[in-house]
Amino acid sequence: MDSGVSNTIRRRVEVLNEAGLHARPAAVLAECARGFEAEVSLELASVPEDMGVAVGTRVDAKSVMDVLFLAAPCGTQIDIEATGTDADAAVDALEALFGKRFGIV
Amino acid sequence: MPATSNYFDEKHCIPSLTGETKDEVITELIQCFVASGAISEDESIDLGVEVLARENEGTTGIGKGVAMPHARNSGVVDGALIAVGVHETGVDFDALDGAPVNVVFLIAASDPQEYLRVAGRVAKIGRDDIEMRALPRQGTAERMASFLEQAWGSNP
Repeated sequence: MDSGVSNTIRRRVEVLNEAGLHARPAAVLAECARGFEAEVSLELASVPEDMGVAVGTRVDAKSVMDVLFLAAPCGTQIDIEATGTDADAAVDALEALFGKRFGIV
Repeated sequence: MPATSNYFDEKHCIPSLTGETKDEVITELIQCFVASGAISEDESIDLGVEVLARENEGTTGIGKGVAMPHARNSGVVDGALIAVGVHETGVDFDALDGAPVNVVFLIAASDPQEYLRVAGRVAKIGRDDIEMRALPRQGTAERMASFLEQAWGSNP
């Protein structure tokens, strides 16, 4: 593929942190996303319980406030979508963070 | 989502914070809960320790002039309490974007799930540029509380 051609990568992940996607994991997530050129969004795919935020709600992964707005408890499924030349790397990095609970117990 | 949250009480809104540091502002907001009778003086000390300990793990100054100091698992509240303060010139919160903080939402919740729910709704207000420009202009605690109630209940 030519460099500069923008591609879109989408991947589903799950919130594994027991206390959900609270302020510290949200800060780690947004900081990681900001390290990429790609535009990165998070979309609520399914929720284990109603927190008042509709499934399908999509936010900017680079904003802590946006990530917090999702109010995503443990077990929430989220679709990460990245568009841009480094979209692959961005999605890989975020998927890894979800997998290791953002390094937060 | 109900149209009103009953989370915003004019007794817990400060249109003009006087504290000059992060710690002073947090203490000032917690004192609202004591003045209104929501918690006791002794409980306010516990809450202060909890909120400052959390702040030391990483700033809650999450950008755009907004901070959300909190205790997620506090024994001193049942459900959640929110205190909101506006600081005219801004306080240094070591915010993620380095900007001074003008609006502080202090959240005390009895369990992490309740915290997540309340923080999500507060973030909904915080991410809305129009509402965040309007909030500091409310002038009085009474107007702040009704403005926040309305913002809380509006659609995302």
